Amino acid sequence: MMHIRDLSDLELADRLAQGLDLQTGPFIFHIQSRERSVYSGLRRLYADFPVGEEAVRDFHVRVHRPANLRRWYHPQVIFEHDLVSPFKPLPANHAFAALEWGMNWCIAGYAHHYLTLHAAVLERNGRAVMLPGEPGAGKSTLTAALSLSGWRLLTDETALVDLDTGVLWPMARPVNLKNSSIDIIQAFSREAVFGDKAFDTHKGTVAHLKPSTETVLRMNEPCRIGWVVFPRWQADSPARLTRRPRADTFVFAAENSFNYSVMGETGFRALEGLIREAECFDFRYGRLEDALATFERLSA
Amino acid sequence: MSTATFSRVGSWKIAPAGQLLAAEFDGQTVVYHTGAGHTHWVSPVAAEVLNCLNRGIHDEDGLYAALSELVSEEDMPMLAESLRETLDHLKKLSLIELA
Repeated sequence: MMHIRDLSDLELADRLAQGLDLQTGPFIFHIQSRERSVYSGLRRLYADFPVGEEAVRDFHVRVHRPANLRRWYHPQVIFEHDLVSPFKPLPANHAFAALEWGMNWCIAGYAHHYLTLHAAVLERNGRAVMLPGEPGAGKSTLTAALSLSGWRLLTDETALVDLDTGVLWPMARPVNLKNSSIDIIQAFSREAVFGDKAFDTHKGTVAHLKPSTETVLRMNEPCRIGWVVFPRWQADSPARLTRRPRADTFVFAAENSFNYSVMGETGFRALEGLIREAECFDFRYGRLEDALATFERLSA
Repeated sequence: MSTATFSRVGSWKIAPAGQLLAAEFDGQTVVYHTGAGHTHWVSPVAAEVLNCLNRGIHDEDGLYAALSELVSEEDMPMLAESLRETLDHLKKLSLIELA
C-alpha cells in the first residue's frame, strides 16, 4: 500500500496533476490540481493516507484556475465535482480550504448510503462520542483537543451512520479550525501539526489540523455510539454535564442532518437506533483542561 | 372513569399523504410524517391522540374517553381543553386532518 508520504515531491505533484486517488475512510476521492496550496496541504496533512490507482472512485474533484484573466490578476480557483462547480470562485490561496469544503460538500450531497449528521465523532475505549452543535459552540476546538489527548478522531464535520448496523464510520480527515481556535490549539499541544492558514475566507481565518497516524491507520474501523454531547464553550464556566432528553436530541440531530429528510423511514429508524443506544448530555465548559478531564471520566 | 363531557364533536384521521412513524424515548415521543417530511417532539397527550388515531379511534368523544382512562382524577378538569389544544396543534403541524 502506497501512502502520500512515500511519494517524492515530483511524484506527488505529477500524480496530482494527472489525478490522485485518495482514500478517506469509505470514500475514494480522485483529486486533480496543480495548485501549490493543494499540494502542500496534502503533503503535510494527508501524509499517512493511502493512495493508489483505484478502479472505482466515489468522487472526481478538481481545483483549478479559471481560463480567464483572473489566472493572473488576483488569481482565483474553482472547485469542481464531475465538471460542475457548486461554489463561487475563491482566491487562489484558499485552494486547499476549497478542496476540503468541496470534499465535505460531496459527502453531504451524495453519500446517501449512510445517514449523515452534522457532528464531530471521536472514540475512546471502543465507544464513540458524537458532538453536534451550533456554529460557535466550541465543537471544533474541543474535537481538536480531544484528538490530541488520546481520543481517536472519526470526523470533525460529518458523522456517517451505517444504515444496516448503526455503527459510525470514520473518515479521519483533518480538523477545520477557525480564528482564535487555531491559536488555542497551537498553544494547547506541541504535537499539533497545521496546514497553512487561509486568511479572509467567508469563515475568517481557517487552518486544518493533521489527524494522528493512529487515526488514519484505523480509518476502516467503525465504532458504536456511546454518548451524544452538545458542547457549549462559555468563559469562566466550570465543566458540567447535564442530561439532555433523547427526544430533543433526536429532533436536533434530524434538523442538522444532511440527508435525513430525503431518506424517509430509513433515516428515521437509523436515527432512532443511534439515539436509543446513546446517553445524551449538554456540556458547558470554560477551560479545555476541565473539559478533557470530564470526557476522561465519561469514557472510563 | 370520569363522567365529564367533551363538547366538540368531530372526527379526525392521520394525514393521509404519508405514514406516521413514532419513537418513544424515556416516556417522550418523537413522530415523523413521511408525507410532510417533518420530525416533531410531541407531548404525551399528543402522542396518545396519534396512537388512538392509528388504532382506529377517530371521533373526539372516543379520543376523550381513551385519554380519560390515562389521566389522574385531578387532571380530568383540564383534559377537554388539553385535547382541543392538542388537536389544533397536530392539525397545524399537518399531522392530522378532519375525517
